[in-house]
Amino acid sequence: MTRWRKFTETAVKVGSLTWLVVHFTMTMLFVMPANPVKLVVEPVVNATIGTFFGQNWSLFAPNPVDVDQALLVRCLTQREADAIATQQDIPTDDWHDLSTPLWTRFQQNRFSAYDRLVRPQSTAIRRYVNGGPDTWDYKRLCDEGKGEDACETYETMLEQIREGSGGFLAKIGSAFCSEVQVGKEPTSHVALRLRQSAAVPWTKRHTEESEVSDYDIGVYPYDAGVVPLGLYQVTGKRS
Amino acid sequence: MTDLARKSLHWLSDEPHRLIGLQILQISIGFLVLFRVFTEAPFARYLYGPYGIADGSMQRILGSGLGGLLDSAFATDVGTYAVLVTAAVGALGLVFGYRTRLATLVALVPFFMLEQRLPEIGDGGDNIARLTLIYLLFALPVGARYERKSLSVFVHNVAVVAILVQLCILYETSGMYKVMGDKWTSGTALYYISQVEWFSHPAVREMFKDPVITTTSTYLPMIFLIFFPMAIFTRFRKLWIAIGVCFHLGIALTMGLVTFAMVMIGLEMFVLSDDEHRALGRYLAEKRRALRARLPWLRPAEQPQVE
Repeated sequence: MTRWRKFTETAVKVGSLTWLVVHFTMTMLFVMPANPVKLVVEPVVNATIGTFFGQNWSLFAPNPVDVDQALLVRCLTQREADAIATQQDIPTDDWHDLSTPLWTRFQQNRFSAYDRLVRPQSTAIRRYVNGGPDTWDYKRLCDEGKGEDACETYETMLEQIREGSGGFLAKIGSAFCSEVQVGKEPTSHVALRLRQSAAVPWTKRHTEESEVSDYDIGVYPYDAGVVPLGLYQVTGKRS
Repeated sequence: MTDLARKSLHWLSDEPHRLIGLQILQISIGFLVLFRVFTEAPFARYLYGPYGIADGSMQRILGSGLGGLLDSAFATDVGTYAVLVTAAVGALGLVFGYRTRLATLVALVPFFMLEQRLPEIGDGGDNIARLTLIYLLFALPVGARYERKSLSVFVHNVAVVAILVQLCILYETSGMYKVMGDKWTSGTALYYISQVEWFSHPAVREMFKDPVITTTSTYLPMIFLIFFPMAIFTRFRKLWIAIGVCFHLGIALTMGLVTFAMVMIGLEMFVLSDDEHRALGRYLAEKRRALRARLPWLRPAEQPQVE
């Protein structure tokens, strides 16, 4: 073996071992909950691991999913949208639940795309409601009263996330309206609503039923360009 | 040099490890990618296409040059389908063990592109599959000739360590976050998960109202996850892997997370050494023979004698 080749091999071996140690030390810091060391190295860890090796292993923790959050859509005509703009209430009829039919089909067939089809709306709704994992540390610090900066950062992040998630959900709503509006008055806006039904607390599991509550997300301009999913003509659930 | 450091260096340098586990892992990831491609292809225009709901970009990670180039694949419907077809080709290579290093790259690039195009669609299984595919790029291709103590063997073994460490980080983090949650420590987490539509099946909803079932099925995963990195270095290793496989089969059946379970079972089988895989193969063959001897209808039909 030539000296040069031996040198190269040694360099690769030392380099790969160094990478192994540095990479996984940073990975551990990235996935850990907020701690003093993480706060110091956060910019570096986010720029490296967060960008190229992004990961999140909280997996149903610390708080497991305990609520169904379904996306409801109401296709609005220009007339209805104008009426809402002049302080009138959003119509109460003709709302469509886009999530429940997909969950039901997924329960009937686990080897299907239904889970993946409902995921975009479920993820966007969860992010709209709680801001997503990036905001949780700030939320916790804010709730614990550990600094006004944390509260301010959380509020700013949440506002941006809600703007993005709302727009994304509006695309899903628009795709649905394109699918169902055939032969009807054209849609000009989509109203979005979140239907939440929380699991009954453990102690009341034999005596109570799940409570359902609706929250308006907003009214967004209809995007006629979004391709329809092509399933709701059959499975769309009206409420 | 200490004895441990010397042993570790020999382990890394002498022979390639986990060759059988590697094939199982590649097959499981190959099936994951194929499953996603075949189930999502009918909805590809809606999910990923230029006029679909997706608006993600590779540019955040790869910059405007390469990222922009890869993004342009989604500028047309044909390009969108081409990304899916490429992923399927790479996945088939992984499943059949054909040019696996190239197949890994061919599967990884479109898989990563789809993930970035629509981040909302992914789950933990996709996340670990993507990371594992990156590490697998450095593993020896299936059936490749290698020289003992060569550089390629060393790099292969570093990739093996990387996959194992990544798996331990996944389990330890997941366990740690669960310990931090009230519903997990109070033993009711599985009850709550079983009551939501997305991650449950109506058939198991009543079952999880039972205190013993709920508490046991909440605590067992926590214990499994937290002790996984320690258990795989002890004589409980095989037991832990067996529990892990059953645990993920249960997740696939009850929660419906089929692709997540697929890749996790592949990773669990990867933990076993080649000798352990061979021993498992012999054990299963022996059991099959014994079963056939007991149950005559399981025996293959006897071939007719040709005069």
